[in-house]
Amino acid sequence: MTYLRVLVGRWSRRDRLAVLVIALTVALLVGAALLVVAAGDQTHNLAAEHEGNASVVGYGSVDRASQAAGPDDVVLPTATAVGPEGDTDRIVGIPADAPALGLPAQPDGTVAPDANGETWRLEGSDGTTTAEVEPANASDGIVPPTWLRTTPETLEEVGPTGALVVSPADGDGNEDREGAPVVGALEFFTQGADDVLGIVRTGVAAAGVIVAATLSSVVRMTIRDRARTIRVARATGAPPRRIRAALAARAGAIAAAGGVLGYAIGVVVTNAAVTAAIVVGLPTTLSVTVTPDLVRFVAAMLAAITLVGIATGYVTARAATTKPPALVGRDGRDGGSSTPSGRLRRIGGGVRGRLGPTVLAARTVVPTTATLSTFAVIVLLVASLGTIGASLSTAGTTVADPDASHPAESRVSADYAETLAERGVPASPEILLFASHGEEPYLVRGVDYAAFESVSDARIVDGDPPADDEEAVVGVELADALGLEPGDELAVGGSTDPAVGVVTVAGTVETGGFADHQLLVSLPTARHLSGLESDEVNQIRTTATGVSDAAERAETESVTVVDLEAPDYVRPGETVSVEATVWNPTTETVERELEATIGEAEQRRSVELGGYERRTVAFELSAPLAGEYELSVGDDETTVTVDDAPPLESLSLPESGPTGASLSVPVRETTGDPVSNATVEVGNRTAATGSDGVARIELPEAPGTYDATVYAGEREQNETIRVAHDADPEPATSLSISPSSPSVHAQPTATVDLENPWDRPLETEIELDGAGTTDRTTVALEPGETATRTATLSRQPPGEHTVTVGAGDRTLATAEYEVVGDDRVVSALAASGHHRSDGGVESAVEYAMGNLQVLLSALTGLAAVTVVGATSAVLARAIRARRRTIAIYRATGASPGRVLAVVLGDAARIGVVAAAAAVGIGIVALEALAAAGQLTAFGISLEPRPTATVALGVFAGGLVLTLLAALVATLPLVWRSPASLLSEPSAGPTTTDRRAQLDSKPERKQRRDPEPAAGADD
Amino acid sequence: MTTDEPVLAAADVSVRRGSQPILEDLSLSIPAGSRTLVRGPSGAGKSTLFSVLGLLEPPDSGRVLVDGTDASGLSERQRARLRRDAIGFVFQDFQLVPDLTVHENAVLPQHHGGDRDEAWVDELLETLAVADRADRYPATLSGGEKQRVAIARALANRPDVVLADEPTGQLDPETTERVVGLLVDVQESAGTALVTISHDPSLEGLFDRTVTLRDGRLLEE
Repeated sequence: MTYLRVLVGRWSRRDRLAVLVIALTVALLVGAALLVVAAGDQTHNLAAEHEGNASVVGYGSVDRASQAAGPDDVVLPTATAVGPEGDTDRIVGIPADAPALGLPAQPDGTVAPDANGETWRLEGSDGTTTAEVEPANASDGIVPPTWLRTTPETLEEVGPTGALVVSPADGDGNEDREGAPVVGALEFFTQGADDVLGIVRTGVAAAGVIVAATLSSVVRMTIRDRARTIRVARATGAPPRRIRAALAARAGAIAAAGGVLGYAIGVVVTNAAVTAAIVVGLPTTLSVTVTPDLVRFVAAMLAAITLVGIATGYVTARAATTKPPALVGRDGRDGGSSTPSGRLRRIGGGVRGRLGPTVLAARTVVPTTATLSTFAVIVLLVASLGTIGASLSTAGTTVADPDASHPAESRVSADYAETLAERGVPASPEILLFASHGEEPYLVRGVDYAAFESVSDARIVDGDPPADDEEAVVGVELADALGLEPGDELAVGGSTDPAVGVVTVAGTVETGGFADHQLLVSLPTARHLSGLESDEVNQIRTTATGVSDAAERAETESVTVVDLEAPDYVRPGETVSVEATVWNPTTETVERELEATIGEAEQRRSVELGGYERRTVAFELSAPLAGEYELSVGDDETTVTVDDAPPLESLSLPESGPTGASLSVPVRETTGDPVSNATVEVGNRTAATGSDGVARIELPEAPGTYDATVYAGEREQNETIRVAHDADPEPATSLSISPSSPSVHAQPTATVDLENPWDRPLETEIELDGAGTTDRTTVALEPGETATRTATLSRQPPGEHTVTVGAGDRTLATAEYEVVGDDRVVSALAASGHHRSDGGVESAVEYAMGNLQVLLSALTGLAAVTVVGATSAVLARAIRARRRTIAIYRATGASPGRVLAVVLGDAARIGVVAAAAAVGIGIVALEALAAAGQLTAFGISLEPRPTATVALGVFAGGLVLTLLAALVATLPLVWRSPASLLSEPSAGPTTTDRRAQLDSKPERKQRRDPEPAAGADD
Repeated sequence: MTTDEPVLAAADVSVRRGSQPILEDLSLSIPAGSRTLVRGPSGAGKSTLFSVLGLLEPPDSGRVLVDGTDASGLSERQRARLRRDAIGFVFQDFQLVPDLTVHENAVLPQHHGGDRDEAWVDELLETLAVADRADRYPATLSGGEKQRVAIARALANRPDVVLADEPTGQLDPETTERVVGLLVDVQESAGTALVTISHDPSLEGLFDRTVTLRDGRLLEE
């Protein structure tokens, strides 16, 4: 039975290549399975870590609410309250057991946060009453601060018009619920992640079909390679059944080997992807570990692969064991076409000649399209999922915190919107909230509706725009999904912090964009639900045209002086050193001549700045006669006083000192010049400054607080100092911030200069605090010794900021600085707000998103690997079918490079057609998924049609992968000697076969060759 | 028409397949315009000699010189150029590209770069009496016609030497006579040397000299 062993177990190099090709395609399935399972598990684990998520449901009446409420649920009756000036608000009845769920404590009577004993009218379903509304003492908890609070009994009198049922969490953090979770973000992301994983599963299932096709194609090839053995075995009388069984076993073994190797590649690639993600700093908790579920999946997949291999092997073997032995391996179907009809191109040119392939069969385009379609579907799915990011992220024409990894973290000042509006740029301050209702995740956008309209194509299609803070408009798609229509009330929960709220749907809005899947609430409501401060929003949306218009206007303003630094005082005739910070608020490089003037003195400097460049330009002017002058540079100016005797600088004295200690006191003018012969007086002790401007004075022996005064001519400065026996000597400390007017991008440096002014060593711990930075250090200074400490301050929003240096509870020095940034439109657009990650839910959300990013990136990589594998298999077959042609090319003088160029040229032609077709098929597949409702994630129906850039990218990627695959398939062949290629048995049909085919198909013969083929003259 | 200058020469060429010697220290010189018949029994190494002389595979040792150029030190690209410009092949099983027409097959060597002279190829096809088949595909030709197309292709680049490996192996005696007659005619008119490997004794009379290959060594007759 030696030939059976050969048929089953002897694998050629090509068979081993086949195993590799199968492995590469299987790797996609394994990798995707690993990632999908891991991402699913991890997302739910993240959610479970934050269990305790209560939920809220709104009802039209207390009766319905009470019927629906469980024993642990709290029912909050609501009604309407009308204020003394006719303003209406919601009033809610707080039961006594409310606080357990984050609700405020039950008030005595009726309260509201800003009330002051006014009389409100309470309107219910059964009538009205009045109530004195007192200021609220307790926190409003998760209830909106604008709501009035009272007891349920008070509302019973007028009849509640509705009710909220707040249910505690049941423990797993991801319960099936009817209403809205009071912390919506996690559910939004877990449900959204489930959506994405569902889509990925669909993509992987599609890829599975291609994998099966590749597998069977490769198996067929390896069996046809055994044609000679089969022919001989058949000719010598081997039973066909035995041969079929052996070949089926061979195919199964090759498929199984490919599957196992594919599993290994899949595990390695996915682990590498996760490692790479961690290295590049992507937040991820993905850990690709083998779980029992995964083992079951992989085992089933390997079994399926082996079965597909065995089945294909059997079917292929059947063909080889039912035909006459002499015809085995001569069926002409081995790889690409060998018939003239399979080619489009002829030597010599012509239009068809230039377009068609030279060596490879044109029909190779069909299997190539099939494999590239997998790639296209997966990449288009990934790209489509990527658009979720555009909706959730801070990208686009928005002002947002560039450091924030997701919008829940971004904090920008709402003032930017005003700044932009002043510049004529439409701007909409927005707060983004993650919410879910039942099983439906959706995005809530807090907006000023009028501003939102100005930056979008929003159009109310039903109902009206929101009239007050409790009204909302709902996107048409979301209205469909949640079954909402104008007049409905919807209970909403918080995003990353617990909160509840109720909005009334005023209308449905169509924007033609992502907002169609969103709920647009007022900014106050959104602030309550998000916990943002009153002047904060997540982002400011504007329009591309608005920005470009503004940039155009800025263009005409050319270079702008944004900061001007000059001394406050100078002496007459002295040099005035001026530093002007100039900025080019445009994208273009501009040149401008700047002029600095003070009195009659002037200096010009030409400055050239690249787009958005900021630079400091120095001027030196001669100070005029004594007097007060405006020093101007460009359009900025500052006041400079020219005086023979500039005022003294404030006395830099320690707050306290030990009795009798000797202290150095520097005396300087505001210009920084030391003042000699000045008198320093502390209590009844005096001392005079030397030429260095320093006086050494002894403190009084008696404890107490003393006036310290410096006299220099008519100038004087006062300070106090406390003298005590146990006072620790403090360092003389000065603090400066540089630059003094940083932009929102800059991280200014705080410089602390320390000097020991005492006659004894000192050691103290100093702390620099402010502007989001805290820096502690211990200094030890010998008498007269100086030290300098610097600290980099964090970026701050525009405005005044204070930094202090202290020791213990004493303040040693204080400095203020102003962050500029809202003075220019483009600066605002690029500006960063302040954000602080609070961990907890926010970081869980961040990790959930990070995991998805890793998943999608890894899938794209695996898809590329699969396509190279599968396309290599296709092209290897096609090229191998033409190895005789390649051999003839080589024998007749074509170099390996020329053969490679011809094959790659063919691959390019095939790749162009196949990649274009694959993009088309990919789009159709996605359209089909969208039509079947499968293309929805995070409450957003994904756009199945890719942008031109994405489509072009997929096309180019497909083409490149085809060329790569052709290279992989051709290289081993072109370097073989022509003699060895010629000596291989022909894969194509022999003359005899062809004649037999032609004879049996007269009509085809007629078409190919109208002239009679028989009757040759030899 | 012969001269003493060899257009193709093998010097001490040896080829082994595993431990089995196929050619052993074989030397052969082919003068320009000469006709040489290499005979030998099956397994004598005739086809290997054909491959080595045609630069289709390199010998394990020894040198092959084409127009005085030692091919052993050349890159594959340079060897391909030598094949294109100096050597024509006629294979036993024709080796026509099935997807190219008769004319396209015949001009194939001119499409690997170098000079193009399609008129010469047309003339060859005319001489070889297959011009009327120029637009047909090989599958529709008889064996004799195929071999004549192969001869036209071998001469397409006006090589210095044509190597023919059992050119009549698949032809009947009548066709053999006609094909070989044409081969010799065009070889003479083209002024190229001809090396034919064959075990057919009837061809001897057409060649200037006959050498016999036996056990990997050449015996001059």
